[in-house]
Amino acid sequence: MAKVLLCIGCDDYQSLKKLTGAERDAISIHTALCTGPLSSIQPADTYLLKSPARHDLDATLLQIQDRYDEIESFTLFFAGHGGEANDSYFLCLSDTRGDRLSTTGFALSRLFEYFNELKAAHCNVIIDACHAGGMVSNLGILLKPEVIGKAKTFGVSFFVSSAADQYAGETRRGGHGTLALLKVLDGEIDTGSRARMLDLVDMGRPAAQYVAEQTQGRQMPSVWGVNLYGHMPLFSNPHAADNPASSLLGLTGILPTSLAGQAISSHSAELYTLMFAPEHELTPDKLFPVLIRFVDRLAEIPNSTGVFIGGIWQSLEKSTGRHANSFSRVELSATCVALLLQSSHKDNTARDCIEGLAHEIVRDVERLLCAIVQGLHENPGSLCCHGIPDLFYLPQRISRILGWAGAAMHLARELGIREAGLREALEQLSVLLMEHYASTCAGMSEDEAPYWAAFLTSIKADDLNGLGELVVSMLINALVEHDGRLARPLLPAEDVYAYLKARADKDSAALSTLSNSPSETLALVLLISGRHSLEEELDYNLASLDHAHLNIFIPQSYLDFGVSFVPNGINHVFQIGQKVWTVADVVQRWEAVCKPQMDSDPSLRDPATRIGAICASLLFPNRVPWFLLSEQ
Amino acid sequence: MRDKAHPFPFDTESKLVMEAFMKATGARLDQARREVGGGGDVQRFSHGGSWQSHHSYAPDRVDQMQTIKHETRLGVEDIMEDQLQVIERTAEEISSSMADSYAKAFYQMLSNTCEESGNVIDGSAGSLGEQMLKAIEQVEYSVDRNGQVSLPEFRMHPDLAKRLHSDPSLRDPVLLAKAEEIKALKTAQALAEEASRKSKFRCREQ
Repeated sequence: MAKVLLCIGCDDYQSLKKLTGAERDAISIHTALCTGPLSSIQPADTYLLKSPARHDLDATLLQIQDRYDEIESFTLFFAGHGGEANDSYFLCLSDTRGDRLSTTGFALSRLFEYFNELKAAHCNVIIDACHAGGMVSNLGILLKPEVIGKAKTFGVSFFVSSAADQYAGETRRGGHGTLALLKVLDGEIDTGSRARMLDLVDMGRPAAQYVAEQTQGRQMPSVWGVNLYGHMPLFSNPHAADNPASSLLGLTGILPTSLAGQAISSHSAELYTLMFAPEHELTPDKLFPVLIRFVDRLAEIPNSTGVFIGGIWQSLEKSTGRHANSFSRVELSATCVALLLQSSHKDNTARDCIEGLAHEIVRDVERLLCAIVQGLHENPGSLCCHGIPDLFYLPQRISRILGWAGAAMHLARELGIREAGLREALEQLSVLLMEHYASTCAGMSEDEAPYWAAFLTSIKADDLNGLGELVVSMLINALVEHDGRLARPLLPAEDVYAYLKARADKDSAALSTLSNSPSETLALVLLISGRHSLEEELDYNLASLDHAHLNIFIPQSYLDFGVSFVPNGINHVFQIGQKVWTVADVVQRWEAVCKPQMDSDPSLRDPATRIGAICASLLFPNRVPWFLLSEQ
Repeated sequence: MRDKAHPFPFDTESKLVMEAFMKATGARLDQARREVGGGGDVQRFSHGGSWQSHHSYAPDRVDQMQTIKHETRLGVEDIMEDQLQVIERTAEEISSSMADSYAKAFYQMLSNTCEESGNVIDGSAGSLGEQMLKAIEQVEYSVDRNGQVSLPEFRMHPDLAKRLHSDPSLRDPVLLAKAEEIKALKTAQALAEEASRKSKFRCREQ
């Protein structure tokens, strides 16, 4: 399939103020995108229009429609006047009149009608316009339903840079936005990405930043994009480095007319709704239910789920930097991994995508651990941020940080990559946690269980200055103090205060309604205490846990570990004081019954499935990756 | 889900009202369930349709969870006639039928367990007093978390309950003395077994 480029530069206006740099900008972008070793567009598939009238643009678009049956990506560059009228955005061509913009301009919605008929999988729209009306445009006007609604069947990316006096002030060198994009294309501006290919949003964000700096904030281009059919790169990355994650970007797109393409486009409104959501709403619990429906539709179409999810990841990862949760990129990558879990054993693109995302997770976690260490050096209290609610959430925050650190160590081992950087960051973090958070790091909620399982199984007993032993001791103390029960998994925030108050008041009746029995944390503590030489200590405390129930849930297949309710599997229930008087009693049944159940599960033999199951348990913490203990 | 738009559907509001109704009905069902038994120590599982109780008399048996469900129909006419009583009627119908199903499942489970363990008595032999005495003899008393002996609880058909009040064999002084003797013995046995059970925990002196 072809990648088509249409560049329009309009200087010679009949009734609007003439410009002098727009045609040159169009020529520069045309040259940069279709010549040279980094280009991915063939010169034969490019079109250049200098100061066209409306009928010229219509004729060219019709000609493109006639020539191609299908297009992989269509890139439109426009430099010239642009303007808003009646809440719509118009490109001003040579015969456009400022006082008749809506009838003599070329509406963006009209352009989208052409895109729709072109059967393009993806459209890149680059507008570097001088505003006819002197207004600074915003993305809202471009993303109006009457425009974007027409994009139901294709992915779209925008880079829109416009200012009232752009060409008046920049006639010698070109428009600010165009100049910035050209600097990205020739490598002068480093996007920070080391991937093999860049898409328009990859290029647009640093270019927008550059424009904002150059204009002292007077001009800030808008950048936005959504991939429907996989990642749609536009240009090779001048700063590409050979990294394993680049395999993510090597995935080719899905044909919109193919079975997979139809499965996506017929429900694309759901995807657009998701992509329009503010960043803070793009959390795993919001993304997963929507995206899993697409994954289910693609399940029987070979090699489509990995491409689709890879494209979604590319669309969303760029906005994670603005999320209030610094781990949002890790959670996004893990969500995508968990979405691919059910395809992990049968689909090569799913497996490749999982491995690529796992690399991203390992790299991100290492970077985040270093940032947390630095933050703690500057302010030892920096892990607290909410006062009273942190009495509940601080142990969860710490368990999540260490859980993702442990998960990253497991992922690094699965991928066969170095874990030295991670280990060093964890080493530094452990010192600070032992010094400042030794009395509050664990033992509040059942939600901590999968994180502690991932963390405690990733380290050796004597690693990290005894942090593992501290965590297990704290869990034992918390369980002994509260009859073997912690806060219920996924306890709603509105019940958290009542739980804290009940714990403070030692109100066992109130606690029992908000706590969980049987406890998986208690099972974890029993099974892992031996590694930290705490088995005997726990034995002596078991009488205090008399009658407490514990549970080990093992699914029938770990391929199902990502769904909200795992229907098939066995809850292995034990009761302290009924055949369980020592740690060894549980360990014996674990060895005799639980481990063989996991040993006979073929899904666990696949590294991609193990990676997916780890990610699922850390995203949805009402399930524990018990197989990590089995591997000890 | 409706196929087409509806005038002023109040979808979100209605969902919240139904949630409140289901919560109230659920509370009523919980109460009914507690009266049957087994409501005091609820266990919650996040996943899976089966479980294996490693502490039970059959630690290798995997049991399947049972679903208890009830469907109720609400006539549009009741709503159109503004019959507020429909709330009470529907709540009562759901909670009582669910509680009945729960009770059936509960007694079936008790019956199966007794059959499996052979802990059954022949109801056709001897007087009612003798049968009750035999039942008391075959039951083991348990000790609760606070160290108190829990006396056995008898569940029976209402007809049998009536007979208990009128059957002369149950007023026989010899039989009553024997029952007291068994009760004292069973209580002592339960306390001894509880002490023995607790002694199996490790303590620092060991």
